[in-house]
Amino acid sequence: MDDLKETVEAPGLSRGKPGGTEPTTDVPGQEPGGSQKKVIAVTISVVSVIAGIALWQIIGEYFVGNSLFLATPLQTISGIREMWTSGGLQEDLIVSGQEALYGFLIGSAAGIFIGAIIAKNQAVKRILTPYISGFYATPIIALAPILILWFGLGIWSKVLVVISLVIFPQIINTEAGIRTTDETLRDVARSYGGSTIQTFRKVELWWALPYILAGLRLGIGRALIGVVVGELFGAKAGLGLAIFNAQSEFNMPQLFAGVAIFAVSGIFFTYLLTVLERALTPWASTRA
Amino acid sequence: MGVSALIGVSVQGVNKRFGGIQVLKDVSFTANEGQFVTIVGPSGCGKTTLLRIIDGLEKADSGDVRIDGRPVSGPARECAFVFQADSLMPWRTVWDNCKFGLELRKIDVQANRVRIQELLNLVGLRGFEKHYPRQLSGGMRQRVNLARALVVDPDVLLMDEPFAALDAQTREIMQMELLRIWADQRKTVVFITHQLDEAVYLADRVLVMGRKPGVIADEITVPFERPRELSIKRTEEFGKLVERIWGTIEGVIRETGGI
Repeated sequence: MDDLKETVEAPGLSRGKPGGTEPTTDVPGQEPGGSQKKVIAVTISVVSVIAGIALWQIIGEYFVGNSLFLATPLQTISGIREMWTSGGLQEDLIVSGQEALYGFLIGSAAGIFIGAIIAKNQAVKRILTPYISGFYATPIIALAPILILWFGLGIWSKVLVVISLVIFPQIINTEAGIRTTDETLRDVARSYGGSTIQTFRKVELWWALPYILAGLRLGIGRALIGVVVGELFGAKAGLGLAIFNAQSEFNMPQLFAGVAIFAVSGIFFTYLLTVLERALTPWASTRA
Repeated sequence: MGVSALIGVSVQGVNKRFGGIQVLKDVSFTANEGQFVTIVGPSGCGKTTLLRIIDGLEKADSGDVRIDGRPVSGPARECAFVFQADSLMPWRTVWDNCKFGLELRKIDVQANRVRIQELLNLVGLRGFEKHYPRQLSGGMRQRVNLARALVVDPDVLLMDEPFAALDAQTREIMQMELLRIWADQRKTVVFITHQLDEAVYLADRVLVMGRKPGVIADEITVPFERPRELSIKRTEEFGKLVERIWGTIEGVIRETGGI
């Protein structure tokens, strides 16, 4: 019945359709003219960013006037250009990108898996909970040097740092999502003869999906932090290392360039996840 | 239906305790095949527990529960439960909610497409197949709830205060609609409510429950012809039946110490 699974994003669909037999239904949904509001909202955000960058340029150029303290946006851009023409940036991006991506994917997948298991098994939950709350609450980043020491300067030590940062919020979110599943919905599944596995697959996982997606969104920021900090403690290449090197050479434009690239990546991937969220949870997007 | 009507639901001597509290005491009743039985009682009388025992969601401590003559030992295929408001999966469209029971029972959904559509038309939801529950009013959500139960083609419909959350007008419309749908589908229905006029209007027989512990305190056969108009609620005979039930319930409430 997948052909019937359409999102309700299409304009006009959210209002009661003609031909419906209940004439006076109070159908909540998007207000008419929603697309116009969206354009305005996006415009405001874009203007805000442009204004912020302009302010940064003005302060850097006229008030600070010293690129050792503050590199301006234009200097930052030329910093990016220098790094690109030297060929270092491409290599750094690939290394850091791999570290962030592998760590994020493995950490998230493992987090969802472990979260689901502890939600369904009290014994496992009791065994793991002290570790999970302990590791979640401690600044795990402090362990990064040890991971570098054990696993070397290659990408896998950084992947491990990223995993250690991504996994715990995802475990906690997934477990909370499954645990808080509406008891009535579980009863509905049981009443139709649903097995434990069917109830898990068809009710609990779906109920937990928004929680899991929120966990992924948290994970993006933590993955990027993990890459930078991990590389600071020891790496052969990567954007975090480039930031560290630029700092030791007092090359502020390149330092700012590295930071800016992380910031833009953060915005980009968070946006990507918002798109994914809307595609995976179309029922939630009609909420007021 | 002849004199020797088949028994759809049979409950004999059911007892149930939760902790130290006896929730149901020696409850017995039968519903013949195709009959509409309502159970009415004050809150806390164990009527929902009774319904859950019939569906196999809970186990009775003692007693015998049979659906179509077969003892109940877990959620039975012959039954479908219509829950109180908001028991739809919010992530499923109306259509996908309706096929939920078929999916869980591993019945071919494709082969039942026409059936699902017919039932959606019957409950008045044609054109709303792709809507999510959030986009529907309370009354429409309960129509989906009913359609989902009918899709698995049960012999017995167990309804747990399905209209309790609706406003008074919508509730009346839904009562009329339910009778119309029931006339088409002719299921055995056990319907729980705390609304006296709803109990009388819908039923062939009304069971009045007492509480602490829950027992069947009275049983009334409703004489009105079918199909029934909503206007019968304003007749003197109807009023007398409601009054009789209220008398019983009032007595129960007084004996068991207030609301």
